[in-house]
Amino acid sequence: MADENNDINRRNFLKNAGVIIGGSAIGAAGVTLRPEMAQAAEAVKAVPKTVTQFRCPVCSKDFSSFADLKNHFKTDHPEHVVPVTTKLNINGEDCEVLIEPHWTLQRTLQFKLGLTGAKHMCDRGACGSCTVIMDGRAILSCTTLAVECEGKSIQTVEGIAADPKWRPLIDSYCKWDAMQCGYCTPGMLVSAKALLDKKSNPTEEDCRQALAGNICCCGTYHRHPTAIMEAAPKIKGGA
Amino acid sequence: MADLAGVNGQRENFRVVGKPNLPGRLSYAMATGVAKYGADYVVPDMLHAKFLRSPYANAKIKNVDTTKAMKIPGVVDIVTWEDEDIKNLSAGGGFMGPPQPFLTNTADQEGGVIGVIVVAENEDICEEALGQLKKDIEWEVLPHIVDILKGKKPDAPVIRPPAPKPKGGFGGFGMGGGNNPPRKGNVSYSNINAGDVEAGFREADHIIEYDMNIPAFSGHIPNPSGSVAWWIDDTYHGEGKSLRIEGTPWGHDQVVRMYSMPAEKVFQECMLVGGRYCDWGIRKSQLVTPMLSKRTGRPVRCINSRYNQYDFNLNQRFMHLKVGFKKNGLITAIDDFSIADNGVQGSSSFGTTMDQTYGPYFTTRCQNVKQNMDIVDSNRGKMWLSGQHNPMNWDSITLAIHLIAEKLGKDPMDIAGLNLHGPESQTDPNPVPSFEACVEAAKKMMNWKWHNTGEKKLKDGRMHGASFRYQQCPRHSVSGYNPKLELRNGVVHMDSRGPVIGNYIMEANMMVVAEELGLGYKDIKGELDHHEIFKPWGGGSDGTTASGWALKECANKLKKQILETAVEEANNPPAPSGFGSFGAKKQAPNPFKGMKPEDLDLQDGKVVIKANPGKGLPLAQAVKANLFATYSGRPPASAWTHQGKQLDTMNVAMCEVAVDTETGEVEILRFGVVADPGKIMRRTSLESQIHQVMYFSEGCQLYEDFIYDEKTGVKLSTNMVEYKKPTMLDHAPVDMDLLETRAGNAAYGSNGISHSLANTHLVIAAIYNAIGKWVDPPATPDKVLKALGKA
Amino acid sequence: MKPFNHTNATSLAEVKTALSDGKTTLIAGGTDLLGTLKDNILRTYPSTVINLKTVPGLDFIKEKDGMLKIGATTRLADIAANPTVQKKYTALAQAASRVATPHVRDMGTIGGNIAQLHRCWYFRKPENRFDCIRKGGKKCFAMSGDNRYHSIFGAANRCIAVNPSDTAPALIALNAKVLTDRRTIEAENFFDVKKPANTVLDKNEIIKEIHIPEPPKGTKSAFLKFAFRKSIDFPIVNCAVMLGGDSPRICLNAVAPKPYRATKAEAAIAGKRINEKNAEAAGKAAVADAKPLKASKFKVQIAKTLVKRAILSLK
Repeated sequence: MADENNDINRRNFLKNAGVIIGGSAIGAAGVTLRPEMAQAAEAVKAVPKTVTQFRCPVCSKDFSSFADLKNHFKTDHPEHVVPVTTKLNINGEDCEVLIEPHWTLQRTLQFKLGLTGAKHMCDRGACGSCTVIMDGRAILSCTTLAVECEGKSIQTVEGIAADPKWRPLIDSYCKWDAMQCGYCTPGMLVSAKALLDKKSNPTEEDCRQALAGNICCCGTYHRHPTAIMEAAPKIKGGA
Repeated sequence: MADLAGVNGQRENFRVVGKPNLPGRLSYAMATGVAKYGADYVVPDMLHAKFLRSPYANAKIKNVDTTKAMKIPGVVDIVTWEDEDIKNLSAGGGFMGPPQPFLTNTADQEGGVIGVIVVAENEDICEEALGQLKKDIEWEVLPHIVDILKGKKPDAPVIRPPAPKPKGGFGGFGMGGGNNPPRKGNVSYSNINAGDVEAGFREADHIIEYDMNIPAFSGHIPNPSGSVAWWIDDTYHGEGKSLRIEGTPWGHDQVVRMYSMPAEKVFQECMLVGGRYCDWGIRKSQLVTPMLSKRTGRPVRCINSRYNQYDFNLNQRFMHLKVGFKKNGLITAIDDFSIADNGVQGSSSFGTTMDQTYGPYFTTRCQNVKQNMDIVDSNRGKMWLSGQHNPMNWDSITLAIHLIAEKLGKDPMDIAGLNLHGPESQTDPNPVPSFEACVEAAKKMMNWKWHNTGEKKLKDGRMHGASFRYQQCPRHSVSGYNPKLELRNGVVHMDSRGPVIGNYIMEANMMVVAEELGLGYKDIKGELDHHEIFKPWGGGSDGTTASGWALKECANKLKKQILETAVEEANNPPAPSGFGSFGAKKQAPNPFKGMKPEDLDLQDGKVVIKANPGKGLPLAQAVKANLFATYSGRPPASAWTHQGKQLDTMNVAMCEVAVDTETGEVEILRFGVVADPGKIMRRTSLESQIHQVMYFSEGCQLYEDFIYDEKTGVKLSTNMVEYKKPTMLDHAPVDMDLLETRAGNAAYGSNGISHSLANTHLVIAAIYNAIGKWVDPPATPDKVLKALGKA
Repeated sequence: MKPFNHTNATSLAEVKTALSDGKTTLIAGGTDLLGTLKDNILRTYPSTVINLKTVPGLDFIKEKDGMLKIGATTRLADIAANPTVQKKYTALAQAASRVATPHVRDMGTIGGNIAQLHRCWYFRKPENRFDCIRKGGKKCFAMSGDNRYHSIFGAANRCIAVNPSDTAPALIALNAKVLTDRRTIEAENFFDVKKPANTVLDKNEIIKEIHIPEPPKGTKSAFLKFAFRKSIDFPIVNCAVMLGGDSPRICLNAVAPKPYRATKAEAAIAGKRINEKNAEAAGKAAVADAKPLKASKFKVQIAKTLVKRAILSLK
């Protein structure tokens, strides 16, 4: 059945056999993208533009329209909060989702939009692994309600990865092993990008302060400023 | 000793091995956010499941009425411990003691799973149902122990009957042998004796006694444990449905066993374990989903919350040491008594009695060692290991050396050097060249000027302290390695079953293969598939070098085949395959015709003539056949080089602190690490291993604390605000110098690092050097102030 | 978390009306509220959450009429980065810059920071595991439990949890006023210990703005925070001082259920030169009335030291 977040229908899981170190794919404007960056770009584009599935979150019945779903709640779940639709702008693409009002942005990104870069580590705003950029600020998607994000531009790690401009940052992260297990890495990278948007030539202290809210349980901290400062002069202005 | 047993162990020139900045296999996937962990998977039609968690530290469900919870809209299934499907599962075994029922109506830690699993359309409905269930349960609240010093008292309530004795494996006590007293109340005992401790104390000129507390700490794993599972029609891999599961890469075999599935019918794409450093525990959320999926006919996702992840600890241990030494500082006797937390049912004895057969004392010349341990059952959590996940690391020896140095007015580096035995055995009188080299480099790097306790005040008024410790750089040759290398269409494949944890073992192995086969790092294809056999693992980088050794041997076996085949195909060209061969243009004459394999070599991706390397063929042309080589074995030394009795490669660590005596705040000015891992395999990840363990060390010594409410046994610090992992702004600088004496016997004379560097008392000893007070880890400001008499 | 209805409010009047039903709660930055909802630690769960951020006219920083005016939904990061605040209302800029993490500062608001709930681990243990006084229960579990982070100045309404706000003491030291939709309250009188709220606000009362009088010529202010980690953590003790005018103002927080105006310390330093001896005396005076429980005794030493160092930093 059609649905908006179907990982196994999409080819966007990383089948390891297909990835060659040093390999590349050609992206927009003939720019060479690594396969992973191309995959991120696909994930960005694959975000569903409109709601095509009107499934009841309580009993999983499918309906053909939002109006029908709302009627279903009136008759069958009268005590329950009614789902809503919300317009979002994610990585430059407009989309619309059907969610419950209490859903966080992180949950929406993962369960409705197929974007799993913003991670669930603490889900309480104390670790930074869910960092996204909203209207230019690096914020915590686990502590943001999706229904409060209409009219705001949101960028996730996938959007950054899909943009060739930020290739030097990703390259230097990988060059310096600024990841071990990799779980905190997207959150770190997003915070780093937000910093570079404000300061094109950050000092080591700038880097440390910008990443002060990102916890790494593996202890990779020392390598992040190294990676950021090496990438900074290579980030050319203009998207 | 140097890698003499294998091929090319003494290699002098390295093109690949040792190079820094070669990205990891999955680094780009991680940095771009496309890498998926178990918690990330979303599948159509997916249900969510949650375990009921005990609000009590020790409790039993007497009965539960699930009727009301089942009626909540969106609840699809409720499974209790009495269900046949649950009874048919089991958990544990191996390291963790005898197999146990998967789910019971008892829980022996607050937040532990108990009795019931709810399956619903989403997590919120699960939570609602669990809330209802809690109202419909008749609880029996049992006495609990969260303070093991209290738990060991004769009048303490006995919290559970003794565990059944295991039939082997690591799950039990009495590994130390000897006459252990019978169990009493919550306490079991383990006593071992080596040499003649009484005589050793008689021989001593001085005796010191000191207490130290090894802290409980953990919370390493950043990605919440759990899985998604579903069953698929699959006629290609045998009869019946196949199982797809995501989120259990470390426990893949366990899933296969638990569900009695043929291995080829269980698929798991995700290879990313997450940050699982010595948090080996497979959680039940990673194992239960196939059963729930079968019951409900839909995919089921069960993921822990952050609160649930504080259920496994590196266990707490209280130690009292008595050490005798001669007036020059040579140790003559060690009496080591500890009270160790045995944790909840199913804890590993790796954290208790297993420690006793290889402790840090065996790096010294002292052969008179007595170790007595009282092991106390508790409701604190499941325990894995103690002493910063490596028994060799007990800083009981670090502190002994520090105190001896203080007493004699000497430098601890010299005291350590005096006590360290020689390379071959405890009676070997020779110095250890690697140790000498490390100390010399350390003195330079640190501008080392040892001062005695409380003697140095900084300009800003804070007290300066320093400390020193040493250990060997070990290898984890605990298991054999079974690598396989294939030449397929001219490309070398190194297949393994992963999983990937972040210590880049696979990549280090690929570097070895590239090195030996005259290829570049990027030329090696590293496939990850759970259906493979080869596991490139081992404790941290310790395993990197041991598995690297096996790959070195395997690569040379493949090389031999390649060169033999190149000659064979030169003399007898294989028939071209496929229809495309018709009309193929005539090839230049094969330069290897008439030659012998020993005349050839592999260089720069080509098979070449040794005497004339300009003449050769690219690998894909030289060999058309598909070849493979396997190797089974390990480098010729047991784990931890005969338990500390052989010393080849060493490391030393130093710490400088500044203690603010007005606020109790401790700042680590820097760590210094000089390590000789014999041969550096993958430089960038070796450095990151060092960063990592110093991060663990500072965490457990200054910030991380497991806090329980004594009255109820409830955990108070189980979130990421109260359980304080150091942030980027807290992390101390780590100065580093890496030596390569080639003295180890894993690949090219290498050994690992990680475990042997992790410690619980390097910072504590530096604080002591600063203010003359012992502060148990974590040395939070309140404890420092208390020690100074200001609180 | 449990579902709730949600409204993006467009006016203060709308918010006020909504809050009057007793089942609606207001969200600003959400950095405190959402955690309490996810952990389900309040006696009553809201059926509706109404967004204050969409009400125009509450997000601003301006100097006007001889005072600094800050809208209730102004982000802490903006306050910390504002050059006027840094220069003239220094304690507030410093306090705002030390809250939590950069991410939280880009989400959290000044109104939320002063209205936030306390951080006692019994109060905060999920699923109301401890039904304490502040939830309408009978007992303060910290009193007989682990109270190492709790009050050193005794209980208020039988609760010993501390107020964790970083900006609160700065506002008090700067003599700020809190303007709600119906009245003006001196910052010092804004705080209370209710079930579970920490302010005097009525059920449907909403913070609109903060006003801080322009500090008199020659005065300077400073803020210090002591926490175990240099990021993320709530204060163990924090301290704001304003010196150089007619009367010093010294305020501690995280030491009591409400921010603690250290009047004895103010008296000790009034008219005196800023030097080590006088600052130390002021520090001692600040904790003269402390009556810590055993585990929180260390906070007395820290409070004493912070007052001293805050004063000395204005030398």
